[in-house]
Amino acid sequence: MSAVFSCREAARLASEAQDHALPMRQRMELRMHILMCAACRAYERQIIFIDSVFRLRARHGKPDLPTSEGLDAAARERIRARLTKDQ
Amino acid sequence: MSATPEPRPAGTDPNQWVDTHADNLFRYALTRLRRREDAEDAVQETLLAALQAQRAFRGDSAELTWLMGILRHKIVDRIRLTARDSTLEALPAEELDEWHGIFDHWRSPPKSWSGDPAKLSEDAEFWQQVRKCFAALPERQAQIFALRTFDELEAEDICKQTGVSATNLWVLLHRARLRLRACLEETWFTPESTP
Repeated sequence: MSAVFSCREAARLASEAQDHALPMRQRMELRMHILMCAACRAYERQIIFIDSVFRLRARHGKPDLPTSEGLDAAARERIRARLTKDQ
Repeated sequence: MSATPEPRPAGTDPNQWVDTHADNLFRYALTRLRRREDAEDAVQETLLAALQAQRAFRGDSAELTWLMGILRHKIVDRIRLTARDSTLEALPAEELDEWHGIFDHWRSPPKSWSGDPAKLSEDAEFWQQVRKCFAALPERQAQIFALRTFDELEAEDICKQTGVSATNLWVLLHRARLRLRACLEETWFTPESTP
């Protein structure tokens, strides 16, 4: 079974399953493969882990990645001037 | 489907926006657009659009949430405009070199990761590493992955808003996850505990 159903295909389905409900047949092939394949089992856990760590950061009010520097003074001034003009 | 900004929350003073919110908005924009100038433009467009949204306040969204909502619409608009040519058709193949052998097994099999997502989500050092891995993603993958995770949009809604087809969306998310997991395994989850 896992010979005809490659890890490449299992990884693709494991990812798709995060985004929509797989058709029954694909879902069963994926479960079967994952039952027998430790690497794909680990892969599925890893991608669930990554998605959820991103969501958790957003829930702490940070839907973004850290930046080395913020908006610089020139841009700040430019925007401020533009806003004042439009008010 | 162009965005009409939500009404402005009561009691907000546009003169304070740059001081209070510009850094948050800039970080949000830079994460998704990557180029400094694009992110600066997006912040400016957002605040100008916010200025024009003068109807009475109905919701209870805080000022920053409201501004970020406007910014998100702007970013989605941008994806929709640029995605039109590139993602209506099948995406170009991308060889990630993850597989080998006639049965397409993992070249480097994923390991079991230890760590608590809740703790890591607040670990500044971890996010510095994620930032590097994320920066290595192709732009479209990064934008879509951010919408799916940071913005918590359903796949279906991303398709509706950006015009990217469902099939292409799944492929983009799949490739983003493959890359992110390979990068994080190599740079953060050092295989100490795995025999």
